[in-house]
Amino acid sequence: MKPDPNIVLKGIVRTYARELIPELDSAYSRNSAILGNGLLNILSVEFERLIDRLLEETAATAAILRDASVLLPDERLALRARTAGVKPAPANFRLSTIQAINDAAREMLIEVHAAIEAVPGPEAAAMNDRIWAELQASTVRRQVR
Amino acid sequence: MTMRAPMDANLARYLSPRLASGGEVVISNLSRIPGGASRETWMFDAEWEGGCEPLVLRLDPPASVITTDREAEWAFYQAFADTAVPVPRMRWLEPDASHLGGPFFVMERVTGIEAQPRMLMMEQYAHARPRIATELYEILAAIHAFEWRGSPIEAATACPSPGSAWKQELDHWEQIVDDNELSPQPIVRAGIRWMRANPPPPPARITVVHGDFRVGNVLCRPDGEIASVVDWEMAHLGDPMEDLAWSFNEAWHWAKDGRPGGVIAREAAIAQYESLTGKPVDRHALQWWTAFGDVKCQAIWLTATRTFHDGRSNELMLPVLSYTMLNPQDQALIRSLGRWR
Repeated sequence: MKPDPNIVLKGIVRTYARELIPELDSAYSRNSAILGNGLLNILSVEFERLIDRLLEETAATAAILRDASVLLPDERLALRARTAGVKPAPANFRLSTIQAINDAAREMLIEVHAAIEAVPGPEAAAMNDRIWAELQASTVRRQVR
Repeated sequence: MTMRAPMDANLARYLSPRLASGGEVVISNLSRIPGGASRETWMFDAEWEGGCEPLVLRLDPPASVITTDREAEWAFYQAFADTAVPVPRMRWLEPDASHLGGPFFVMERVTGIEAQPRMLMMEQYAHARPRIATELYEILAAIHAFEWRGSPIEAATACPSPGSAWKQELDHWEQIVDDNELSPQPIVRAGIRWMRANPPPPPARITVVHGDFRVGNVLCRPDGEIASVVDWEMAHLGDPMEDLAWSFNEAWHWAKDGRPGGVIAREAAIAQYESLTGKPVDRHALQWWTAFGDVKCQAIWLTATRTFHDGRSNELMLPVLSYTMLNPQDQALIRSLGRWR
């Protein structure tokens, strides 16, 4: 449906800012309306990019899990990391489905990261650096601009 | 707003026997202060025959970003009355929720102050900022020098050993992360692992820790004098480095100039604090407590997120905190751990 939801949300933000918020007389009400409007603005950006960001992050995490699995001395954890590292195909493209896959990958990453920290040697150290680089990259992807 | 009429009446009813011997008390200028994500804060004037008092009400909401002990907070305010640490005078502590819909306390309202701390970033306050910075760390040193034994604090809060202060705090806030995260937190978890593997040295002594010491929680006069330190709801006994590090947390870098609260550079503040306390600041301890501050902040933002998500509060500040604070705090934690490239 047109206009796209993110465009509609931005339109609501403009209307509230110009026409409604100035009419509110209590500081508390005005503040609540400004907060709500700020949220709508953020959500308009998130609406457009959220699925793409989650898929990109899940793919990057899965690649790390695959590569880290060969360094893990615990065979059961290595198998679980390898399995999680197979690029998962979502059953559908609902946000809740994509988010659940992303959550599962990042949960596994926590476990693998802790295990990698305990593995001696340069390969594990390099993998640790790679995990930190991805964690940093994930915050850049999520940044609200 | 819709709550104003019953709040007026309920406050008048509560204050009548306390201020006017059962006579009429009129509540005027009642307004709820925006923000206050942990407790509702209301300002008002109470007038009765022969008197008028500007007051502040701090009311527990049905759900909050932090769960705190109101009686312990009260004890900290009481302990610092008439000391070098300026605090508002406490008037009434009321655990009975039937009066106003939740437990609350009432304190005197400090007048003649700039109520919005971010306003201090404006050009008109440029002359006041050096004084704010000086007094901020003078007061922090005074909090940490305070002899809490024998004060109301001793009975209201537990005292950890110097060697366990870090663990007590980390355990507490990790549990809050556990209870409130809606999605996995790989950066927070890595931070907590680092902290457990690299504990800070024990402090020379256990002191009062304000727990939320920053420019946003001091009330300043236009000339920069700090008239009051407020928001003692996370106060406890522990390692004073917790407060110093917390005052530097990136979450308070509103001015975007690298200076917490826009008033003083970190190294200058450390030098001032060292001069006031006569002791050098241990840099590993400071790094540890800086990372801890990031984890504690995340625990608070995650609680805000969970509270709104579960429908326990409809305060729009809560999802704003989720969307604007969680990710920058993750970035701050990566920097605190020395892992930002």
